Amino acid sequence: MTERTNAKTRAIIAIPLLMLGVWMVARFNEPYAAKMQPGPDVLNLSSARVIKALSIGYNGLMADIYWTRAVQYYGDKRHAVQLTGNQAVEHYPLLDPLLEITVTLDPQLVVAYKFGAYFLTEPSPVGAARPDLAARLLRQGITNNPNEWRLWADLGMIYYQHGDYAHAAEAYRMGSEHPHADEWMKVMAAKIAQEGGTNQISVFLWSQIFQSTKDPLIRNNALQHLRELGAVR
Amino acid sequence: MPVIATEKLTKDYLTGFWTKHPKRSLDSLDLEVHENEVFGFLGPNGAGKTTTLKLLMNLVFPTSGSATILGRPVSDTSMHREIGFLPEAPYFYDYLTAREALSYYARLFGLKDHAVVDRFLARVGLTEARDTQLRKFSKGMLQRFGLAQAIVHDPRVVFLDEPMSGLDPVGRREVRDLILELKKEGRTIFFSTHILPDAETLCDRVAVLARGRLQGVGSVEEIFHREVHGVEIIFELPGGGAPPADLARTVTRTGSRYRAEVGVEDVYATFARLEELKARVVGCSEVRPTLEEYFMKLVDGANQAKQAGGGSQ
Amino acid sequence: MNAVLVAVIAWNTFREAVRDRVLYNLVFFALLMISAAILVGQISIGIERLIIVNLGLSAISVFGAVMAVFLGVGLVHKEIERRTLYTMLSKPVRRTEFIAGKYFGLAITLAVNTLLMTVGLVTALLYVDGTLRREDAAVMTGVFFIFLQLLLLTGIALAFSCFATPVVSTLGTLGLYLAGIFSDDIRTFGSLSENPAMQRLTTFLYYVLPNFGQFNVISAVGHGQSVPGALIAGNTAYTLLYVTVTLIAAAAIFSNRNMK
Repeated sequence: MTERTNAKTRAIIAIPLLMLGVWMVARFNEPYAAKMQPGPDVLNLSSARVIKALSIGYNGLMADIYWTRAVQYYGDKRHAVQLTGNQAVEHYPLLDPLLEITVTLDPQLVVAYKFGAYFLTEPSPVGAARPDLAARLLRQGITNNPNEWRLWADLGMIYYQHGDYAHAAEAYRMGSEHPHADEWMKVMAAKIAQEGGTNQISVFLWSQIFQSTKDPLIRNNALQHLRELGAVR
Repeated sequence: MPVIATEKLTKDYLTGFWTKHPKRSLDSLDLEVHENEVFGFLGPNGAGKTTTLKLLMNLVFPTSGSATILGRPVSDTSMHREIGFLPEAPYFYDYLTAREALSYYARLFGLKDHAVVDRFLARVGLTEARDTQLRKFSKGMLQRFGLAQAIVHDPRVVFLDEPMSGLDPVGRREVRDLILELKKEGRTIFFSTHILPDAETLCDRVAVLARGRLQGVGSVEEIFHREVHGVEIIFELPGGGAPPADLARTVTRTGSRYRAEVGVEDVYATFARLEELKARVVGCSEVRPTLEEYFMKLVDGANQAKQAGGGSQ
Repeated sequence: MNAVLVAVIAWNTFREAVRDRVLYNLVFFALLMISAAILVGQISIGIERLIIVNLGLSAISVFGAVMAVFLGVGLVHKEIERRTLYTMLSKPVRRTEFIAGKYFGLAITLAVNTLLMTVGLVTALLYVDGTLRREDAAVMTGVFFIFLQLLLLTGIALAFSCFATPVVSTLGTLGLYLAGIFSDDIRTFGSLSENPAMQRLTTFLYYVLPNFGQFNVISAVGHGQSVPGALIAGNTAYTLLYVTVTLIAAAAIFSNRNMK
C-alpha cells in the first residue's frame, strides 16, 4: 500500500471514531462549560450609544440582531412561565433596555416600537406591566417616524387601557390630524373624550389591534380581551 | 536491473476552471536508465520533461503506468535516501543562510555533522557566501546551492532539472565538471536540458521528448548526427577582396573572415577553388541542425502524426 | 511516522516565523498592557483587576487567533507557491510527516507567543494589584484554554490550506471559528423551531462543529470564578481528539494532492 491509500484509509476509519470521541467529550463538558458562561440574563453592554459606536457602520444589522434578541428574550421568559405554570410576577427586566438599544441603533424600526410597547404595557404574565416605559418608547418612535400615524393609535390604546382617557383622547386626536390617518381615529378621539371607557369602545379598539397584525401571539391576546368583553365566544 | 525504469508512464492534467478537461502531458513513456549512466532528457519547453521528473519524485501521481527507481516504486518515500533532486529554477527557504539551509536538509537524512555541510558548500563554490541569507543569492548561486542539497547525503541517483539554466559560462563549466565527478564516483545522473552542447559533452545516452511522447533514445551521435547539413569553411582572402559569387551556396562575412557553407560532395572542389584564390583556410567543420531546428522538426512531425491519426487520442 | 523528522521540520517552521518577525505583535501587546495598567486606575475605580484580566485575555485570544489563522493557512500553501516543497518531498520525508512538522512548528510559535503575552499580563496584574492572588490561577486556566483554542484553530487552518487557496482557507477557518463560538446559539435556534428535522440538524452541527464556546471562560475567571478540573480535562481531551481529526484529514488530502 502506498502512502496515498494509507492516508485515505486511515482518514476513513479514524475520523468517524475520533468524532464519536469528540461528541462524547463535548457532552461531558456541557454542564461544566455552561457554569462558566455568563447567564443569558446578563446584558453585557448596557449603553445603546456604546453599541452604536462598536457596530462600526453596521447599525442596521446590529439593530436587527438586538430586536431578535429582544424577541427571543421575551419568548424565552414567556415560554418558561407557561412550562412551569409558575404565574409568579414576571417583570421582563431586560425588555426595555434591549428595545432601547434596538431603536437607538435603528430609529426607523417601527415594529420595535409597536410590538415593544405592546409587550411592555400588557400586565403580567403577558407583558412587563410598564405602561410608563411603553408610552416613552412610543413617543420616541413618533418623534423619529412622524409619518406613522398608527403609533399614535398604539399610544392612545395604552392610556385607554389604564383609564387615562384624557391622554388617550389626545393621542387619538393627534394621530387623526395626520393626512393619511383613518377616519375612526377622529371618532375615537371624540368618543373617549365624551364617554371615557365603554365596552363598545374597548371592543372596537381590540378588534382594530386584532386586524392590524398577523402575529399570532398578539392576535390571540386581542381575542382573549374580546372574549372577556363578551364580543366573541 | 535498471536504476530508473518507467513503463507506459502517462500523466493527464485537468485544465479549465469550471469544466475540467484532461490534457495529456506525458504519453506512455517507456524508459530505462542504467547504473552509472549520465542520462540526458532532452526536449523543447512543454515537452513533458518536468512532468516526468515530478512523476519520478512522487510530486504528482501517474494517470496510468508505473515507474521505479532502484527497483522500488516511486511512491516509496524511504527510497529517497538514495536519490537527490534539483528542481528547475529552484527556490529554498530564503530566510536561512546557505549553511543553515543545507544543514536543515542534511538533518532530514539524519546528518548532523557541520563539516559535511561546509564540505559540500565548498564543493559547489559557496564557501564565501555560506553565512549569507539565501534571499540575497543570485539565480546562479541558488542553482549551486540546489546542487549541494541534491548531493549532500551521498545519493546513488541524482536528478537534475535544467541544471545549467541561469548560469554564466563559468558556472556551466563548473556544473559540467561536477556532473562528471559524480559519474566518476559511481552515481547515476538523470538530467533534463534543452541545450544540446551540454548533452553532447556529458551524456552517455539521451532521450528526446516532444509533445509528451518519446521520440528516440540513444547516444547523442545516434540521435542528432544522422544527417549532416554540410560543411562550413572559414577563410580569409589576401588583400581583402570579395570571393566569387559562385563559390558556395552561402557565403557570409564577419570582419575580415568569410564563412562558406557547402554540400558534403562539394568540399574538395571548394578547397581547390580556395587554393586558386590563395585564400587562407582558418577552420572547417560539419554543419548539423541545431537542437532548436531538430526540435522544430520533431514538433512538426508530432503535429502531422496527430493530424494523420484523426485525433485518435 | 518518524518523530525526529517531524521535530526537524517543526523547528524550521518556528525559525521561519521568528525570522519573519511574527513575534513583533508582542510589542503591541506590551504597549496595550502598559497603557491599560497605567490608565485603568485613572478612569475607573474598583475594577482595575477585572479590566486587566478581560483586556489581557481578550488580546491574547485575538492576537493568537489572527496568528493561527493567517500563518496556518500559509503553512502548506506557501511551500507550494514558492516551490520549496519540491525539494522537501524529494527527501525521505512522508507527506504525513511534513504536515505534522508544519503543525507542530506553528504550535511551538503560538506557545512561545502566548507564554510571552502571559508574562506581560501577569506583570500588569502585579502592577495594578501589587500582589498575585489565588484567583489568578484561574486566569492561567483561561490562558490555557485560549492556547487550546489556538491549537484547534491551527489544525483547521492547516486542513483547509491542504486543498484551498489562502483566501478560501482564511474564510473557511474564520467561518468555522465563528460558527464554533456561536454553536450554542445554533442549537438554541434549532430548539426554537418546531421542525424536528431542523432540530436534528442543529444538534448535529452543535456537536460536529468545533465547539469554541466551551473554551470561553474569560469573563468567569475575570470575576475570580475557578474553573472545574473536569472542564480542564474535558477541554484538553476535546482539543487532542479534534486536532487529531484535522491532522488526519489534512494528511489524507495532502498525500493525494498533485503538486503541479
